[in-house]
Amino acid sequence: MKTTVLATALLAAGLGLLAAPVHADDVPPVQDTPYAPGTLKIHVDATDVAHRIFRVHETIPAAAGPLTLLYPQWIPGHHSPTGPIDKFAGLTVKANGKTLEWTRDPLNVYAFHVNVPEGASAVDVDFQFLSAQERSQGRVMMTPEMLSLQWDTVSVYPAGHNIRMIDADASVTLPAGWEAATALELESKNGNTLDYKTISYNALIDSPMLAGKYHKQIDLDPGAKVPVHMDLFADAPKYLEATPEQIKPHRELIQQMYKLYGAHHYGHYTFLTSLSDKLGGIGLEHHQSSEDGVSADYFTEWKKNALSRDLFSHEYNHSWDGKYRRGADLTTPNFNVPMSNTLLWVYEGQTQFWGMVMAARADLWTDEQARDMFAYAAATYDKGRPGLASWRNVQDTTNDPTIAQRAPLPYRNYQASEDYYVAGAMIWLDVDAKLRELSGGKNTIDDFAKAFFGMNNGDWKVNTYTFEDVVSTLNNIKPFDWASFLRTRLDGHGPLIGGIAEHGWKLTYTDKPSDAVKAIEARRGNADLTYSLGLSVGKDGGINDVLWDGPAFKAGVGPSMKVVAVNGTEYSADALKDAVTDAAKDKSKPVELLLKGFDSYKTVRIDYHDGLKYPHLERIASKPDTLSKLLKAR
Amino acid sequence: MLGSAALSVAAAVASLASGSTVNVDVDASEISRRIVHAKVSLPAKTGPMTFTYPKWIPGDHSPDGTIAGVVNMRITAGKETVAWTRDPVEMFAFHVDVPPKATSIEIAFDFVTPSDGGTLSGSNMGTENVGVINFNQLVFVPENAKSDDVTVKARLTVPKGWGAGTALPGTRKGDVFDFDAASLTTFVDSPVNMGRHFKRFVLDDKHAVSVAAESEAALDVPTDVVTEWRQLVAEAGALFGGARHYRRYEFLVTLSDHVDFFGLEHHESSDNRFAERGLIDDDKRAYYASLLPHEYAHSWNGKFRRPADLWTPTFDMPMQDDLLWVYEGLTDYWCGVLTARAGLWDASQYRDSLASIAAAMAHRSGRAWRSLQDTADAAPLTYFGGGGWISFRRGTDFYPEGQLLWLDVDTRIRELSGNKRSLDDFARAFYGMDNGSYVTKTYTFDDVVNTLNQVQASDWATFLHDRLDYTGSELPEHGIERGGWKLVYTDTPNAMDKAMEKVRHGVNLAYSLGLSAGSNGNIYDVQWDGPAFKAGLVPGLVIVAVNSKDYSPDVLKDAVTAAKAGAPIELLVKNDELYSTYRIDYHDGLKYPHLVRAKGSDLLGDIATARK
Repeated sequence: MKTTVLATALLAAGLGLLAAPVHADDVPPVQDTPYAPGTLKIHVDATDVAHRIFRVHETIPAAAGPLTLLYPQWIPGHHSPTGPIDKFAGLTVKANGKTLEWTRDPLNVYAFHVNVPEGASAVDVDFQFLSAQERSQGRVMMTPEMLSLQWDTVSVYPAGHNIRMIDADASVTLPAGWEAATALELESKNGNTLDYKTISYNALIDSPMLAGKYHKQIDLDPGAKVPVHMDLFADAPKYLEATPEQIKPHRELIQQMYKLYGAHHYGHYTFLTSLSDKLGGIGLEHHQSSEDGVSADYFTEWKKNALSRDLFSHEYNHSWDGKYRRGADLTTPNFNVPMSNTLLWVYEGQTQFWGMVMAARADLWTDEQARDMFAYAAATYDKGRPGLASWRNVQDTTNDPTIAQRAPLPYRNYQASEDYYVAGAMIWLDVDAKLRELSGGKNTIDDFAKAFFGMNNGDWKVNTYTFEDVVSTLNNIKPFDWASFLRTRLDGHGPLIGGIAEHGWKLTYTDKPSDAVKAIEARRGNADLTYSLGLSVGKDGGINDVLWDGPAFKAGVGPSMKVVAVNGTEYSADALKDAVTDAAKDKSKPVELLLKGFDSYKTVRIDYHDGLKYPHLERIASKPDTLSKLLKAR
Repeated sequence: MLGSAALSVAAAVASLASGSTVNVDVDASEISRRIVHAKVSLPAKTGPMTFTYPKWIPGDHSPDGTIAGVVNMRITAGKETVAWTRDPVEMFAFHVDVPPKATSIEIAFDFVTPSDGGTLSGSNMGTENVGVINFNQLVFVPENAKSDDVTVKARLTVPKGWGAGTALPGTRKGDVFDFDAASLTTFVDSPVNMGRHFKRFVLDDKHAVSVAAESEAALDVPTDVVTEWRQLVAEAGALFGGARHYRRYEFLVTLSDHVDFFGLEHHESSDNRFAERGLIDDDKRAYYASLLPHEYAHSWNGKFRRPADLWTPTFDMPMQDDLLWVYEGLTDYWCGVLTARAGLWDASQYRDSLASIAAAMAHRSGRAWRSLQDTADAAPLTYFGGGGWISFRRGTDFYPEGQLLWLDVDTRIRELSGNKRSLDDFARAFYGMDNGSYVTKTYTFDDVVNTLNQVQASDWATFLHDRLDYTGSELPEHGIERGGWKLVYTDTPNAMDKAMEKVRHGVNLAYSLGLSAGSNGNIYDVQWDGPAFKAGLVPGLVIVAVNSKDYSPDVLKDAVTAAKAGAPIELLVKNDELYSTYRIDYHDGLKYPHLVRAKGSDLLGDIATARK
């Protein structure tokens, strides 16, 4: 056994302080050297839509001797070791037509070792990537109408070299008559086979494809030198009908971003938009594109889907924050070196913030919708995350992509999960308020955005940063103890929503849900009584979450249970809400739930008489309304 | 119920159209869509005319003709469209004005059934793979025409390539049957079953079984069963004195899980419908085994011999059902006897079936207010009552209790005659005449009593009335005891009840907790004044949980057993959208009926023994 840099890194991540390298894999360490044997040739046959199978043939130039092939594990944007190797199948490796034995590294299941025979200059690799057939198996990547091709799922690459120094030549065969969109540049087209220009393996993985039967391209920046498009793929042609009024705010988004940052980091950009209720949902950022999955009726039921619209501002913002500027510890030399996520509260937190703010500036949202969403977010960090108020902090949640990997959680509110997104947005709202306070309204977070993300127009080579870089940029705008300001919020258990009041608004709770809460309830099919009974319930009575130490929790309600009846009447969201209201009017009335857990039934009485509670923002008359200033188009 | 003056005079059977020929052309090629097209050509004379659709269907004993399924009716005379109106009182009668010079009218219509719901011949008639038609669905008749006097010339198209079975003589070319001219009585009495998967089992030169099924696998009938069918034919011949009242006999068997369980007797055939795997699955075969013998026995008892007041010359005239305890009750008795004698059941299965019937009838709380006779008199109600409270309302009890009544008679004859004579002698005397004739021979109550007296002198009128007219809390029939057996209850179901629970996926706790329920907790029935009733339960509620555990038939049974030690039985029950808990105070455990040997000789054994 030999020790490697990678092995040590894995041990540090997985086994903490255990130093002895007794469990090390056999994968060569990454060197910053070009991959000398030559360009990877990757061909994907994506025509088998019926079986949802991607068939891959890959030629990897290689010198004789040991060769380790890696299937990408740490996928940028996922921040977690979740490359879908469970759906990788049928691996055969040949050299000069002769099958080579392969072995999987027992300590690194993403690594395959082969021995390249003398006289061979390349290996031919064949395998299949099996898309999930249904949601419970993972993300469905092929439907009868469209497919999502992510190169990390359909390629392997040689270990030992920086992925920016491995060249790749990719091609794909699509079902007849389908069209494709990708940030890759086309070299040639032969029938249904598209051959793309050679590019670094790193950039290839960053340039996924969306293809389908029903496609429409919308120009989001007409006349611009640097084109920005929205490529729509839909379950049916009728869903492609976007009206000029609907396109307008998406176009405005581009201009607002340019005004904010004053620079961009791509040669061209496209929103790979799936309008589908079949393809697995997605929101994944790339330098020159993003994968944006919304419901099929995103345009045709425009009002109903209003709350999805910040997906576009969010993923687009990542081109600056996340792709171009990236935490130094997150920037890895290949896709199988562990990432460290300590700065995700910038990467995702500030992107969450700008996603919401830019949705308002671009008129994707009205100011009221934006305020409702800020109220919803603020309530979460006011009363909805007892875990953050007690045992866990926002900083620690940046480890959650690796810990929970987005698996469903039993006590989401207490465990906390990827809270660096929305809690991060709350912190940045607070930073904005502080800048305004310190500068007498002259400086705002817009100044930070321009200074931190708005350099080197057109450059899209990753520009890394550390915590200290964030602090010094803030100090350059307005000197202050920004390190303490941030660390208090990131590492503590104290309040996170001070920014709301600082911007002249107060978080209140009333018995009427906001339009945003109503829309969220409709989309999730649940009844959100988090701030009253302390639980949320799905359509069929299945309990989604029970607020730790809340009234329902104290009465014995658990999240695995199903509400069968409320005060003796069959469960419906209305029956439950009516019972809460009745118990507030008449304090002697209980909220009695008939619950089913596994095969057992029990009745619990919840001693709660304070009525329904939904979050809203209310103006503080004595303070100026800087929130509206923040949301105002530039 | 009859309003039209012309129809209400029962004796006024006109000769207007008697002796004439009605042409019927039926296209059943779309029976999978549950649509059958028909054209009926009626002889007509210029001027006002009334014609009717069969209303009182022989064997249904009720005015349940399928008029609701008649759609798209259009009438022409030559090329001329003829307007029609329905009689405002009698929904089965239509009036037209026949144009000058016309000698016939043609009634074109479609007949449809629902895929689910509907009753008897108004229920589902077709699936992708099978279909059944009864010609009463597809014919119109001149008003008051005697069915014996009307001749029908019919043609039938079946779905392409399907097999079909019928007793109606004729020739088949391709998918078209050209039937020989037949009386309207015989036409309506001769259904056709058809299927994509079809097999005809020839038993001998006069008997065959035509099976239409949902699958090829369902046709794979064990050879033993075919042997037992032959035994059935032989045993029936022996029982009924060698006389057969048909030219040849066709058992029509339609096997589908999407067609309602059904059996309808005819002179020369029977229409038997049951589960797709009813002939190949052992439990299901045992459960359905008695259907063919029942309908077959009807050829003698019901079709050939028929109560005088039940027999009618037309299909418009009301039937009287007071002797159904003979028509159906005695048939049910012969059915048990023949099923056992043919070997379709063994002696213990026969006894199990008697035990189940006896227990059910012993728990008919409705006997307190209603006599067995009334269940027959009110047959048009009891067939269609539906819903719960079956034990208190009483249903068509003239079948099961009728069977017990005739067992009582049989054992009584054996007792009085020192076992020299039995009800078999009655059978010979009552049905054994006119071999080959299928002209109905009617009888009255007195004829039944007289024939019994010929076999064994006794006061049979009093014997029968004591049981038929009885109201009270006891089961008035005692044939089981006289036959050397006794009804007892244990905590294990008998083999037939077990098979029934397997087939019907429910639980019958009528004799313990006092309720029966489906696999989903639907309460089918609650025993009036029983423990469940006293706790407040009623039919139609849904049991959600038993002692806080998710309901299943087994969980409920386990709770009944556990309650013997004193624990309560607590049911969480859903009533529309309301949930509430019921405590049943019952601690006597599970109870299932069985027969055990008692004193005296084993007459049940003698009765079940094959004659051939």
